[in-house]
Amino acid sequence: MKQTNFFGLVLFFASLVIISLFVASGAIQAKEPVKIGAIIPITGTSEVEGQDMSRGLQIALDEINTAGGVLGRSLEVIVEDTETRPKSGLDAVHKLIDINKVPVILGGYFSSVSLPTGNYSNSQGVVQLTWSTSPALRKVGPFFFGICGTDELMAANTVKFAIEDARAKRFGIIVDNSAYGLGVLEFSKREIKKAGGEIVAEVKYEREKADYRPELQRVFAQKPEVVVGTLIGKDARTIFKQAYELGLKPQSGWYLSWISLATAPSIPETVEGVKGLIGRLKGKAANRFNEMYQEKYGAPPQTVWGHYIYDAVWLTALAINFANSPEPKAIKDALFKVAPVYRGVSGGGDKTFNADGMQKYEVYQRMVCKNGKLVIYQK
Amino acid sequence: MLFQQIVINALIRASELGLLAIGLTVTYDILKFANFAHVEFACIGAFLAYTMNVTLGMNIILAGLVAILVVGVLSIFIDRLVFIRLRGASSIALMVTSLGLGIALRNGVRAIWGARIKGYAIGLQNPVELIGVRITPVQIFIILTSVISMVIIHLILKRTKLGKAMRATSANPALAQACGIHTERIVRWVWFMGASLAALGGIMIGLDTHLTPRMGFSVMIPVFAISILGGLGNPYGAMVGALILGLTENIGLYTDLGKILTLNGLIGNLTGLYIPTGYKLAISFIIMIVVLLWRPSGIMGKRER
Amino acid sequence: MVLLEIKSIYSGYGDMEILHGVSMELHHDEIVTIIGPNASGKSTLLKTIMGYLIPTKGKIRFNGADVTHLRPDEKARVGIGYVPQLENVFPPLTVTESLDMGAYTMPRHGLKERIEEIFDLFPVLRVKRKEKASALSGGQRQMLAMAQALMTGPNLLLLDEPSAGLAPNTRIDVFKKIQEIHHMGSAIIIVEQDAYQSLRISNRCYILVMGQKEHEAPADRILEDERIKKAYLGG
Ligand SMILES: Nc1ncnc2c1ncn2[C@@H]1O[C@H](COP(=O)(O)OP(=O)(O)O)[C@@H](O)[C@H]1O
Ligand SMILES: [Mg+2]
Repeated sequence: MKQTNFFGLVLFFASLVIISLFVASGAIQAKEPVKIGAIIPITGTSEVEGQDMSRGLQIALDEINTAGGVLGRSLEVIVEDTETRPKSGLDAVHKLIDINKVPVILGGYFSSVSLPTGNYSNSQGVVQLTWSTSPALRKVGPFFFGICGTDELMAANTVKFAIEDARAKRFGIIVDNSAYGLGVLEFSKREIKKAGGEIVAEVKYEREKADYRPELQRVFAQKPEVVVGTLIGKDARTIFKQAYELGLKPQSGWYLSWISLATAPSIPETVEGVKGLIGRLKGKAANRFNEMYQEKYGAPPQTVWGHYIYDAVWLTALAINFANSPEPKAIKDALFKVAPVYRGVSGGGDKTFNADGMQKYEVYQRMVCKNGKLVIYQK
Repeated sequence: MLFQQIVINALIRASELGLLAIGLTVTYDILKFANFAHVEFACIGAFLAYTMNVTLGMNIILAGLVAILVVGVLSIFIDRLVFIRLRGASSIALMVTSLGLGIALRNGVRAIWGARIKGYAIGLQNPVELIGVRITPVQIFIILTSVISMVIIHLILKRTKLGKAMRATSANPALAQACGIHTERIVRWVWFMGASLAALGGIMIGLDTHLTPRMGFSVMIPVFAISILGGLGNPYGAMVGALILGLTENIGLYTDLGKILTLNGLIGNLTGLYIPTGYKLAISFIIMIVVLLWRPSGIMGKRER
Repeated sequence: MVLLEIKSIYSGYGDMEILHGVSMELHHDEIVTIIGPNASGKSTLLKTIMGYLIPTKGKIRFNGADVTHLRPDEKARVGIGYVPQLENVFPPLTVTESLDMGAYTMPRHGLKERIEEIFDLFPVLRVKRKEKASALSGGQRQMLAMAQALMTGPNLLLLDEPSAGLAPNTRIDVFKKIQEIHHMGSAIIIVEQDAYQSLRISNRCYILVMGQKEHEAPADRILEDERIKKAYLGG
């Protein structure tokens, strides 16, 4: 708990010792690497987040391979681009499973990508670990794992944040029209109603459009005190830019789920003072990750998604070693065993799975955007 | 929000889409098919201007002008390469070809410029306030450019020999030839005009928001809706159609249908009944379908034949 | 002097040959009428002369030059005017704009004066100058179609059934105009099915049957020939 991967490393070395009992040491170097797959939004709506994912992945891989790899072989990740779109994501997963025959796939990112890709990997008996957050993912199947708390938790906490911080009663909601966004919409509404608040506008916007003024006019028509929901990537940039130009601002502010999705790609002036939640970044483990990231890439991470993929790679490596097998079935069972003892860098660090393969705990961090940067919010 | 603001927002949208729709409609008028690749000229124009403005450091207006000319010439090149082989082919064949061409162009843009979001070097625009309306200098520029372009198009079509020859060729190509008009040359000019208008519209969208390889594709449905609304082949119809679509999108989402249905509380009490915003794109579709059912030749009346 | 010389041309639509070796000639001061039964290839002959159809065999000479392969717009430039039977105006263009298009190959200066001259010839068009062609009556349209083709003062004018579908009075007007045009110096070829009036103003006549020249004679002789009158002029 004190060191980044203290538990991880202990487990890891333990597994290496076990393996070395079985494998002649001379053969280790010459062996083929163990290949797993990852699907990342390298291009499209979420390319900014995608960049953090690519980097988090690299950091974890470097650590693992420096420490000796898996099963005495090096670990290799074949990365495919989802273009932030379900269709391309599905193409990528087909390729990884049918051609590369990988036992594990990391990613999906948006629930709209994770759902179809997860269904396919699960049907093929291939393990998939995603950091998508739709509650619908619970039902995908035994080979499917979520390493990020689902949206009920996130949306409810965002609404709570708005209520505690601004004493908000009148809410506007705006969400990306996707499986993820609709989840946020549903759970935000549920929480607002529970708290006795009033919803004065409820807007779903389509991706990749040039003009969101009509949507903005609608959100602000009834003058909400706060606006909650989720805005993503390029579209968030357009929406904030147009809101800025139109002078539209909730009286008591924006409170967004997964705020970094919205603020990272946006123009700083347009998102000044926007508040919201992200997965918890604080803690020794997370800090060390941030330092490594800074050192390697010359800038701090812009989003939390590098943290999640980092944990996903580590969990996979540990599970492969623990299972002493690169077979999906064995890895799947091992994941349940290694997760409770692993200390991660994302979402508070505890990566324990429920029986359905989703996260048991998630700790969120309240953030506010200042001069284009997200900083921890203190009232 | 003020009603004037909604009208202005509709006007900005209409300015951008109107340029694209006029381009589409003039090419349809002569070539007699709906060119699905048309919106990609907007995308290519926007990206060419980006390269000259951001990479080469040219003034944005100059960059825009050069990009418009280049796209115009490119379209003639594409005509000579692809469509000249299909003169007289069925309009279905032409449409399918243009659909394929559109995909190729879109992915070409992606291959050259990448999928990352881009913007021109104009900085964040600070809005000014006029009669209670907030509008940025760039948006004023967009509306003016669009209006001026439309006036120029009008003058070309009505006053110049070339414009009259375009209209004559569209109305009766065989007779135009008998008058000594080399109709292939007119076809080239029409490509040039349609594609440069699209490029101009694309640059306007880029100025107002940002650039992505899908920026053309994403306005395809509204642009077609506008053209059909105005009557395919009728540039004046397209201008009116753009205004109607801009207003419908903006007012449609803003209007409380409950208040209208109850005559503002006169009969019963019903408020907060809005069109779900997810249906914004559907507005274009509905306009298109209603017009096709009710007046297939567009709101501006029957085209003379 | 021979203005137009057609030497044994074969022409048609795609694989379908309609004209099977037609020859004819026209002098620079002549009006010639081509008659023949329906679908005998009269319009096809005019379209071939104008360049819409390219003959597979044979030659067309105009003013001494080989023009067999010129496009219609090039034919217009060398001085051939053509008035098709149907769709012979630009519906959305006004009368003035249409005349402007008729003068497409001419320099812009002097255009106004030329339009006035044409209005003198067709006074009815002067009244309708701002009207769209689509708003004109059948007779007025026929006048506009001819006026348009006359703007450049062509050496040769091809008229495809200029009186078809017009009221009897209007027909007389049309043939009067054709005579006036002839006096202004254009040679004319007229295609007609019901050809009495046409023959009266013509010098010579060709009879086309099944894509071949069946007969050729001075116009007055044809009008006197009872056999031909029975066969081709409906008695
Ligand atoms: N565009 C066309 N394509 C194919 N066949 C045609 C076309 N126009 C005319 N034809 C055919 O050519 C033949 C001659 O037609 P046409 O020259 O118009 O006769 P006419 O003018 O003597 O009545 C007819 O059998 C007609 O069906
Ligand atoms: Mg005929």
